[in-house]
Amino acid sequence: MSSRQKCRLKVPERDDLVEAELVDELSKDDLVRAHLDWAPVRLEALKRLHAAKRPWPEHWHWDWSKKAEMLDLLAYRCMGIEQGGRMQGLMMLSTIAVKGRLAVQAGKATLYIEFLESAPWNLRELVGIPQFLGVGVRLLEAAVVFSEEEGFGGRIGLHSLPQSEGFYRKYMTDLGLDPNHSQRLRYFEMGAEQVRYFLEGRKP
Amino acid sequence: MRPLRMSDELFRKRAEEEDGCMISAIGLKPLFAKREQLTQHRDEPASEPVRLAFSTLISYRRRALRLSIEALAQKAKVELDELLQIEEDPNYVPEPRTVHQLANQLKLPIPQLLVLSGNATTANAELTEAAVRFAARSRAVERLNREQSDALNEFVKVLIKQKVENIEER
Amino acid sequence: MPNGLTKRTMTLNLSETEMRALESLSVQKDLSKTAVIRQALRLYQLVDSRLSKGEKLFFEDEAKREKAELMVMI
Repeated sequence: MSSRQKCRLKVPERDDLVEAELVDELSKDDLVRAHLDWAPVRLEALKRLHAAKRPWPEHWHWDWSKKAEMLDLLAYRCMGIEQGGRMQGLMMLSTIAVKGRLAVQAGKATLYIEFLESAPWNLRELVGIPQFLGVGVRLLEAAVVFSEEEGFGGRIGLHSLPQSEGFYRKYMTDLGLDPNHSQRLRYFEMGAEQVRYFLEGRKP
Repeated sequence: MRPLRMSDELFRKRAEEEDGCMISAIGLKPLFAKREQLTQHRDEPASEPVRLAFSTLISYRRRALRLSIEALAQKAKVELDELLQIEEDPNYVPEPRTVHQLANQLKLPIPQLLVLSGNATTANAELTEAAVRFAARSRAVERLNREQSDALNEFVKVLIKQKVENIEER
Repeated sequence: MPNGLTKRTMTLNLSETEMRALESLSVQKDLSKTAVIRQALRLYQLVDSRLSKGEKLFFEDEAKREKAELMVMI
């Protein structure tokens, strides 16, 4: 049985928080189910954007069912936030540490986030009024906690699609375009002080 | 796993900060994936006009055959969202299988389409020049009118005539 | 079904040399010895998975422009 812990998501334009669950180890079936649930909503949103001549999200083509085979290996682990019987967000982690690049933690074991995505109905760009807010925050929080548990000190790193850079820049250090990334995306890393700010609100 | 520990008050603030942001991250090629041919095309610049020609060609040809996007997707047995992306996003490189399927349905030559779509390379300069000219001509107007029909027909003639030798499919 | 919550214990017999290597890695990487072993296991499985698909593993020295295949039978 994968481990579940209660957490909360925010309802937009209200102060309400609703109960959800962090599932810290998803199965391949979970990913396939999430994909089948997300795909039709995403497709309808894409059609609307197409009709309105608006740009598509950069991750429009992601298929979590195809990522499921990664879970055959210990090297990967997927987490999700579930609410109302639906996956509200998914995150694929590499459990093999990468080397930290931030000067203060150069070379230290850092948890790398391979993929992270909020369900299409939680994105204002796609649906107008998102169902929940805070899915990305919760998943980043889960990554930090898992990093601590693995002995990586809460350090996390990821490459951001351009559309998401603004979000990560709030809590992580932008280390610039990575020429080694196949799409030359910007690499972001969160160090110990940033973890304290992100999780506890304590400014450095 | 250890418990999450962000306070509700801080979470509310962070959740508001998240509003309006696209939440996504994409890693380096997963280590489990089959190694792609990284070396030979790494330094090759993405030829935007040529791929623009590809998107436009698919769109115009479909419309010339009076097919809706849905109908073409169904006939070609390709994903609807992928076909939408092919027509809208010149940076998108479709899978070779998709290119084959579309070429068959739209009665266009496969090797040349593989080159235009970014799936193969060729030393045929005339093909790429024709593609750039077509892309330029086709940008002027929204609807497929006489001018666009002429541009399309001329380009298709060139495609069919061109020999594409020593194609390297990616 | 994923089973990350259940932990099982194993006793590991290592030679002096192996234990010193493990301790050295643990200090170098600032990871516990258990964490080092787990990293090794994950990497081993991943490498094995790709090798069994017919792929090869290389070390590359860009400065010397040398590449050498890691000949392992695992």
